[in-house]
Amino acid sequence: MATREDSGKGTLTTYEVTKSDKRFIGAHILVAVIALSIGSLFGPLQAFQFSGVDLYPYLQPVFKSYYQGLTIHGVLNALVWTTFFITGFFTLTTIWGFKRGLRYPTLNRVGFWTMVVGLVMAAVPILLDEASVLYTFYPPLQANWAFYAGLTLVVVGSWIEGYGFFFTYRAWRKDNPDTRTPFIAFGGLATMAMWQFATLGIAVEILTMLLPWSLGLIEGTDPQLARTYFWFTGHPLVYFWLLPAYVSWYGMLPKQAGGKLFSDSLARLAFWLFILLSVPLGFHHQFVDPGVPAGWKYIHAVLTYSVFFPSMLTAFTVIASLERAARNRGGKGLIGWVRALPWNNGSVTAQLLAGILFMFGGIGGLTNASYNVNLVVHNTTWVPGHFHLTVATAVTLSFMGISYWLVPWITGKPLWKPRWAVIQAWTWFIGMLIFSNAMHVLGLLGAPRRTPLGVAPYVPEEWSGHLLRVGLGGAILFVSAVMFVWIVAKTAWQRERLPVGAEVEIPVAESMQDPQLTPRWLDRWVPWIVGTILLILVAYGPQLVDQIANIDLGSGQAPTIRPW
Amino acid sequence: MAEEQQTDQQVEEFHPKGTVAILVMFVLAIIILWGSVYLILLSRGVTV
Ligand code: HEM
Ligand SMILES: [Cu+2]
Repeated sequence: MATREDSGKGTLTTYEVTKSDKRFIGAHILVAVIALSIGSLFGPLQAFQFSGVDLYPYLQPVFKSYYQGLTIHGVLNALVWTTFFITGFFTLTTIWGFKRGLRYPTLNRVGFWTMVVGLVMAAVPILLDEASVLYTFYPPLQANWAFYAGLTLVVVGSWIEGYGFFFTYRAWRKDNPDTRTPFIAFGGLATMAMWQFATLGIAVEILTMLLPWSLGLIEGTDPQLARTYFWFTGHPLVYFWLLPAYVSWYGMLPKQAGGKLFSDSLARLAFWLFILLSVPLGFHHQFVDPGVPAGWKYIHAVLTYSVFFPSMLTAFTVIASLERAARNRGGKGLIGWVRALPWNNGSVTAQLLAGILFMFGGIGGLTNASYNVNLVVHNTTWVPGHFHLTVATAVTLSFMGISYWLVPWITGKPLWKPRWAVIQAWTWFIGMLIFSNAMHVLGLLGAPRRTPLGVAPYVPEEWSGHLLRVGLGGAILFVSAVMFVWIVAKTAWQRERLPVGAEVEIPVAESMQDPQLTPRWLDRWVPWIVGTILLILVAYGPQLVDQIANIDLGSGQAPTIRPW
Repeated sequence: MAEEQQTDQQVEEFHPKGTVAILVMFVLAIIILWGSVYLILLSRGVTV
C-alpha cells in the first residue's frame, strides 16, 4: 500500500495537462465531429427516402447513388467518428488516470497521423464512387485498392496509439508497483488491448485477400472466408465502441450525478469479462452463412449469451451508483429517485438517455443472437433499427454527452448555451425512439435492410405508416445532430473564455470502497490475456484452419462484382 | 483510516432497492419482447 495518493481517489486534480496534450486530444475530437457531421447527413436522407421523399436526384452528380451515400454514412459514423473520438478520449483517461504525460508523445502523434492519412486515402475512392461497397466491404463487391489500404492505415494508427498507452502504463507501473491501476486508465488500456486481438481478422482479410485482389495480383476471392475474417473483427468492434462509453458510465457519470462508483471491483470484473468474451462470438453474425457448420454457430450462440452476465453486472453497478447519487440529492421512492438526478445538465442527460435506450438495444441483441429467432429478423430493417440504439445512441449520445464537458475543458471556454445541450439530448432520444421502433416493426413485417425502400415496387400497404415514422424520426434526429455540431462548434469558436480558476473539472468518480481493497487478481493482465487467447483459439481455431485449407481464390468461384 | 471505515460502513448501509426493481422490470421486458418475436417465428411455421 505504498503510494496512497496514487490510488485513484480524490487527488487526481493535482496534475496539470500540457497545452500540447490538450491540442492533441482536441485534434482527435475535431476529426471525429467532422466525420459525424458529414456521415450523419446521409442518415436522414436514407430515412426520408424510406418515407417517399427522395432527395438523391438533387445530389447528382456529386453523390451518385443511395449506396455511395450509405457507404459514407456507415464508414464515417461507425468507423471514423467512433475511432477518433475513442483514441482521443483514451489519451485523456490515460494521462489523467496516471497523472503523467504520455511516455512517448511522438509515438501517439505518429499513430494519430497514420489514422488521418488512412482516412484521406479511404475517403478519396469513396467520394469518387470507386468504393461503394458499404462499411462491411464484403467481397465479391470490389473497391479501389486505396479504400482497403486506407482502412488498414486507420487500424494500424489506432494500434500505435494503443502502444503509446501501454508504454505509459508500464512507466507508471514501475513507479507504483502496488497501486491498483486507476479505473479510467484501466478501462482505456483494457479496451485497446482487446482491440489488438480483435483487428487481426480484418488485417488478415485485407492483406491476404482484398488488397492483392483489388490490385489484380490474385484473380478471385473467397466470400465465405472473408466474412469469417470480417466478423472476427466485426463483433468485438461493437465492444471497442461501447467500452469507452462504459468508462464514462462507471468512472465519470456517478461523479457528475453527485455520487460515487458503487463498486470498483465489479466494474473491473465486467471489463475483464468483456475482453474475454469479445472476440470468440463472431459467428452469431453468420447464422445463415452456408459455409459455417451448424455446430460452430451453436457454440458461438451460447458464448454470446454468456455476455449477458457482464452486461447485467454493468447495468446493476451503473444504476446503483446513480441511485446512490440520487438518494444523496434527496431522491425518494422505489423508482421516483430517478427524478432527483441532475437532468438540467446536458452531459448527464445525454448519458442517462443513452443508457435507457441501450436497455432496449440489449433486448434486440438477445433476439438477434438467438440462433433460431435470428431467422425472423436477419437482414431486415430490424438490424439497423437495433444498432441505432447501440452504436448510434448508447455510444454516440454518450460521446455527445462527454463532449459537453470535454470540449470546454480542451478549449478553456464555457459550454455554449447549456440548456440547448439538454434539448439536444432529448431530441436525439425522441427521434431515435420513433425511428428505431419503426425500423424494428418494419423488419418484423419483412422489410429488407440496405434497400432504398422508397422506390421498391413490392412495398405492401401495411408498411407505409411505419415508413413515414422512419422519415419523421430521421427528421428529428437531423435537427438533433445539427444542434450537437452547432453547440460544440460555438463552444470552441466563441470569444468568451472561462475565468482563471473556473476551469472545467474532469469528472472522475471515487469508488465507495478504496480501490486498494479491490482484489489483486482484478488488476493482473497475464491470466486474462492468456484466457482471451485460449478462448479465441478454441472458438475460432478449427473453423479458421478448415476454411483456410479450403480457400478458393479462383475467378470461377465468385466473379468480381461492381454493380455501380 | 477513520475515513476508510466510514466509507465501508456506508457501503453496508446502502441497499440499491430501486436498482433491483428496475432490473426486475428489465428482465420482464426481455421475456415479453423476446417471446413475442419467438411467437412470430413459430407462427411462420416450423420445418423439421
Ligand atoms: C442522424 C441520424 C441518423 C439517421 C436518420 C440514420 C438512418 C439510417 C438508416 C435509415 C439506415 C438504413 C439504411 C439501409 O439499410 O438501407 C442507416 C444505416 C446505418 N447507420 Fe444510420 N442513421 C443516423 C445516424 C447514425 C449514427 C450516429 C451511426 C453510427 C455512429 C449510424 C450508423 C449506421 C450504420 C453502420 C448503418 C448501416 C450501413 C449499412 O447497412 O452498410 N447511423 N442509418
Ligand atoms: Cu455481434
